[in-house]
Amino acid sequence: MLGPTDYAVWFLGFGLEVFVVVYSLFRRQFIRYLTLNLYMMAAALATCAHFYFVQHYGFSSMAYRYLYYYSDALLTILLYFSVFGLYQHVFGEMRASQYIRTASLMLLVGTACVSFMIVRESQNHLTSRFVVQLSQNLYFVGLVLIYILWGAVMKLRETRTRVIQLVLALGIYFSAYSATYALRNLFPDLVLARSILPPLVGTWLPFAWAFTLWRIPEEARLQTAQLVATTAR
Amino acid sequence: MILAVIILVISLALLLQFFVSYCRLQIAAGRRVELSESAREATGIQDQGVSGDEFLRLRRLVELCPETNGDTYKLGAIHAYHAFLGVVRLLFGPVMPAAAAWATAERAGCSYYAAVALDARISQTRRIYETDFLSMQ
Repeated sequence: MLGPTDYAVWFLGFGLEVFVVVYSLFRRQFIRYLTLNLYMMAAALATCAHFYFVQHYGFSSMAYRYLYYYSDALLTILLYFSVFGLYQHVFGEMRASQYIRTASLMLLVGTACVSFMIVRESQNHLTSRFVVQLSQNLYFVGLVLIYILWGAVMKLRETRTRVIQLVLALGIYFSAYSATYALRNLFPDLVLARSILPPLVGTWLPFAWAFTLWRIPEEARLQTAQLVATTAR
Repeated sequence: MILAVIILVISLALLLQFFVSYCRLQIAAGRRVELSESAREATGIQDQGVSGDEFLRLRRLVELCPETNGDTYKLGAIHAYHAFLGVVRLLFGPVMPAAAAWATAERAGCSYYAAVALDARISQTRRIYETDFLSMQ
């Protein structure tokens, strides 16, 4: 059963997702951050579908549960394209982006295969176990991809504040979700991992992106070189 | 089971690293800003050498001024980072002096960041006072 706080977090997340898309359209930045906006549109649509299923079938129903996990897995795959989009931003001036895209897609297919092999033994609960395992692995692969991207941001001395904040927001999102799913895998009945963390982490990404697009001007710059220098000292 | 434990540990470690990176970038950006005379008078800071223990006092001063460009969230993150550094210094100080020295330097950066935020808020408040309040009279 969902309480007022759950609905408040839900509507806040939906509002922020819509805000990112509308603000990008309004400021004519939709194409510049195309993959991010497409993800936000898909996330908003998924939120609408979740709401419809909760109203018609109930929060505890199997129909909602399957919709939740499968839409989450699909959204994660879509989020990979946002990561590729950020790779394009960072490696825009180099000719390496095509190789990175190919490698990332191969990694995605590989993750799905490994996840399937891991749960192949538990045939009786294949679908439900598979999606939890797949989500955990997908988020972890996303985390690895974003960590590599973060390394590139530091190595290439990326200075665009927006790109840096978008990458960091994704890093926090992927690591928090990956940890949450790992906790769920370890402790299936843990309330923190089942009911409290997922909506909060889910709201983080639209919040961070909305904040970045709204408050950080395109021309703002940060000195990552200075951070590298202080680390090396 | 083992895979989940490994993923959990790595995810938490990287979560911490992303958070620390974000805070260090903000502090590095703050260090590039020179404090104005009015901010130096208000805070009693002479140069960039401000103690990490000053952070809470500076944060309270910042809260006395109206918010500027949504800096509350950033200050909240820096506050959490400052607390984290306090834990690092406490836990690793006796066994790893280098870690304690690093935490002390970073805490000083947190304090300077709060002073820069205070400076921005004082400037913004003065601007509002000059443009809105004085023009009404």
